[in-house]
Amino acid sequence: MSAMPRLLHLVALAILWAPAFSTAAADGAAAHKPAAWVDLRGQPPITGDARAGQARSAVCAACHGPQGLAIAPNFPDLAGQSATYLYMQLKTFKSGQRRDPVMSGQAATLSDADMRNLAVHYASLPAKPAGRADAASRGGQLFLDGDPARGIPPCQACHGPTGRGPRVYPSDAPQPPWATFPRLHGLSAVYVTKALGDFRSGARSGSSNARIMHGVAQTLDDADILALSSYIATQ
Amino acid sequence: MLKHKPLTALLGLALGVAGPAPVLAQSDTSDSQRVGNTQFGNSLDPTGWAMFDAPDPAGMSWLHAGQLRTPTGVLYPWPRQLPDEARLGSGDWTYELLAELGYLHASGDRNDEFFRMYSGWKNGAALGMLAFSALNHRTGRYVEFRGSRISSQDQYYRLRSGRYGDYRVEAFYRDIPHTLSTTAYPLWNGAGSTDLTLPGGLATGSTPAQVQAVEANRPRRTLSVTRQSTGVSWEGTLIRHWIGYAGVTNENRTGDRDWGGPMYLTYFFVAPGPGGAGTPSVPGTFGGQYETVRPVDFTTTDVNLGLRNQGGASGWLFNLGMTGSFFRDHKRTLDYAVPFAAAPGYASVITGGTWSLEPNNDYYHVRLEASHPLKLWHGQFSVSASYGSMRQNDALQAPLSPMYCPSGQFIGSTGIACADWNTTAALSRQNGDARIDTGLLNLRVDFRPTAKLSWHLNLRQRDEDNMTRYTMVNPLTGQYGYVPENGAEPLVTGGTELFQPGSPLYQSNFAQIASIPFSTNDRKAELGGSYRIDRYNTLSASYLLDHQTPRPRERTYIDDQHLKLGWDTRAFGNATLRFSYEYEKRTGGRYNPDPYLAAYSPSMPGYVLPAVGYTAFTVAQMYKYDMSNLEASKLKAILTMPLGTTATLSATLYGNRKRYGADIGRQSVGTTGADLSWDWEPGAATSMSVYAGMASSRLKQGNVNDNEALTFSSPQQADMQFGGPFYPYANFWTATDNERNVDAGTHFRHVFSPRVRLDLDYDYTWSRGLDSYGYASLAAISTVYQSILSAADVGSSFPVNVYRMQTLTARLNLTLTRKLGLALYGKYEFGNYADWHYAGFDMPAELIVGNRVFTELGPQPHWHVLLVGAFVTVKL
Repeated sequence: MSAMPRLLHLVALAILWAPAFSTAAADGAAAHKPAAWVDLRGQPPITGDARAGQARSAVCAACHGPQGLAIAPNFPDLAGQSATYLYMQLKTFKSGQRRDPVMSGQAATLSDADMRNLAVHYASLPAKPAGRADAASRGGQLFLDGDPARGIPPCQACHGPTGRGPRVYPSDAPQPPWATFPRLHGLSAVYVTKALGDFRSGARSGSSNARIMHGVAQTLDDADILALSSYIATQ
Repeated sequence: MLKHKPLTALLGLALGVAGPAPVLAQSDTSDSQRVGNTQFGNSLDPTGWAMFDAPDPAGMSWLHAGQLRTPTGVLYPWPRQLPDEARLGSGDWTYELLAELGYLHASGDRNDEFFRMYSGWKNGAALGMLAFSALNHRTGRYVEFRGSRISSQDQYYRLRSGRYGDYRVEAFYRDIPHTLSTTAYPLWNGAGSTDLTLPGGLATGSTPAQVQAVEANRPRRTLSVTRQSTGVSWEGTLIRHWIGYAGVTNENRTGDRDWGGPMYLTYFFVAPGPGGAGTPSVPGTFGGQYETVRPVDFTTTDVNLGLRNQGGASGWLFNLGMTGSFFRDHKRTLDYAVPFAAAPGYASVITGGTWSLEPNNDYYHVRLEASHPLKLWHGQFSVSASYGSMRQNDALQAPLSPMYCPSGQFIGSTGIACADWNTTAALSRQNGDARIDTGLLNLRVDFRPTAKLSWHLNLRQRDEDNMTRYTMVNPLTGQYGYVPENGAEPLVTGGTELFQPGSPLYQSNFAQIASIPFSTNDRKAELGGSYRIDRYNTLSASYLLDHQTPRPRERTYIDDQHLKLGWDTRAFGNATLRFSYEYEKRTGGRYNPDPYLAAYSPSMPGYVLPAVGYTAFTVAQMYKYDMSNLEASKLKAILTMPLGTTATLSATLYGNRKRYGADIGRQSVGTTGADLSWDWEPGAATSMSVYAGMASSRLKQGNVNDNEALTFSSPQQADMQFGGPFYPYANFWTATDNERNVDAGTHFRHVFSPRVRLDLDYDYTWSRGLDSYGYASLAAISTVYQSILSAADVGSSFPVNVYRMQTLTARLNLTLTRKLGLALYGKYEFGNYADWHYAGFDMPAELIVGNRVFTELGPQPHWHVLLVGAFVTVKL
């Protein structure tokens, strides 16, 4: 009969002990954790002031063009892009989850309101007109159908059949953060090639969406990336 | 297809990006290569691994933060965090290693039967876990080892290796204990061997007082059986689409267990008893009934070979499998000397008995399964066919042991010479030559003509042919049948149960002279379908006709009809409700209460019906439950209700009612039960569940006691009719078994930080059984005891049987450094137990009751055990 009190003492001791360890644990465990990543899974669509954003866009226009269409193929077009996507990119540039020699410095000086306003401004600009993408090309096949035998999912599942954003279907299941997925159509082949390469190598892995793309890009070889980049650029 | 189903593709993507799971995270899948071992774990961690899993805060998908649910609303468990892996050498291999070593100590009633039933707890060092895995991320090859050891009777080790998507090999070793009694005091020397001898001071003819005096000082021992299993298996791709698999498992079961030891009834034909002349003595001084101890020394070897096709160009899916199972009993006989003379004061030569233990058995089975899609209505055709054969052909054993019925001696005044029965020359053949073959053919078509409607048709035929034919005739004497009860019955009653045509002494004896080759054919036809009314409601229905033709049985055919109805609905908010109802009706051919006469002496030429006939086989109105008419209803309702995004409430209510078309035999069975559970996963760090279930069942049967005053003395003994002189209404009785069970508990897990994890479990089990009875008159209880019985003595029920057990288990994992951890384990178990079968057994001497010898006192009425352990965990 004396066993029960002894066990209760043991359990009580264990519970009292736990908080003491938790402080020390956080310190010790941090060293083994992968780089911090931003969880976008619960990210709602953002709002902002497009006019205020336009006022802050002079520096941006130097690379991304006054109408959000890039002046060189190594820069992405911003016009018509998802505002939430743009906002999260600026935010991760600022907080360090995404790094770029130019953008990290540019974003460092922006306030949260600035980032929202800029994102809404560029999203409101007219996107590049549609091109004549060849759906029968290798890139088109990968974009539209993927390659199940090699585990390559179709890009259109998240980015939409024309690259202009996902088609959202009503469902009772938990929904992905559709607004955080970028629109791809018309992005330059140079930029897409670099982006997929960064995803594949893990250089760009600072958000839950980047973690998805890391898994996707690892299924692609260089020829796949080249084909996809060419197809997207002509969308 | 993916082009048109972006969401489907998205979900596939979400699953796909997880990549290959780390080797240690592999679950124990139930695939075709397994032969008899599907779960590796022990009492320290029944899951075999979950204690070392760290839930991943990232959740199940990068796409959405919440946990996914099954289609019916049940939360999937939180996925485990990817472990740290170290690079192995300079190549592509990585590895992880985990070892947990510690000390276990049990205090309190640590020898209690229930505490030890399936656990080999032992004070001392224990290996909580030793796990190693290595993975080549480039080639997909892996090696994994996992093992745990509580004691030499409770341990497992498993080695797996292979390449993802290509092949896998596995080898394992395990010991599992099964404790049957910890309070055994076997009277005999040699318990656990094949020869039970009487201890010093005892010989056949001892008195109960003498046996009691010896039994009082017999040593206590534990009766248990250990299952030791080893096996190796392989599964791999042979050529494109074709996968082969093979496995061999060998299981040795060794130990000892309670067993019987007949030496004829101990209370019959004793005069005078308490009721005066002609009534039996309750303690009994004739015959003897013995609870002995037998050895268990079995080996079962299972061989499994197969080939399956994943889907070639033809569209057929195949699975061809062959199974062999070979049972070997390394102990063939059990001999036991008896302390009591079967007939006191008589010059008895029967000083013991002998058992023929289980024979070796060979089983072969081959099966072919195939399916092919049909163009019509998105259909599918599937067929399976199998053939099996089970064979036994051991050398048969002499009917009596020369040790206890030596040549040159005779059994009492019957004239039966021991020499005629104590060698295998007394047998009509020397080997069993037993064989049962089975064949199965199943044809099925499934159709889905629209997205809302599906239906199927299933036809099944299974035939079982028992080819064993054995007629027992002793070539030495020309007599049919066996000397019963090791020769004790002829000693006590003079009855021989032997038949011999032309012999005035034996020509009218009623005796079983042949085996009964039970066989059956079974045909089933099922038509069923389901219809989705709208997004929230689906109805289903099926009808099954099961036509059986067993032989030789009381009915030449049985028709079982099943009508099943189902309704699945999500019309009530987020909840999923599933209702099912089944109605069953069984009918059959005319009922023949005695279809077995061909196996008995009256069917033999030369049988002379005695003047009083022979005793009725059974009452004509007695319907065996598997042959009786039946009407049954089953109702089940299952509710699964999500509570917010982090919890689920589940409830099940069920009830079965069966009414058999019999007053004598099983009359009715009813079960009512409910289960309720609440599962909560607010995040990766915490999970909790609470569950409770209760069930009650009631089984009622009726029977009629035969009027033993007429046995062997009146032609009325042959009257099989209920209400007749041999089975009078006054001898009718009923018995009702009432069972109630409750299971409840709660499980809590919380990760306070990456370094501190606590698991707390509480489980409660309770069951109560009550056997009550009613009777038309005291003659229904016993005709021979009737004169000394009273209604007050008999009462209306046996005492209540109760089993209650509560277990509190706690485990605290502390991570001290990246490589070093500490685990504290505690388990407190207590309970109580009452079973009237063991009533009055408090000390060994009480195991001797008249001419009856029992072996065990039974489980402890109350027990408390505390088990604590401390383990050091090393991770590399």
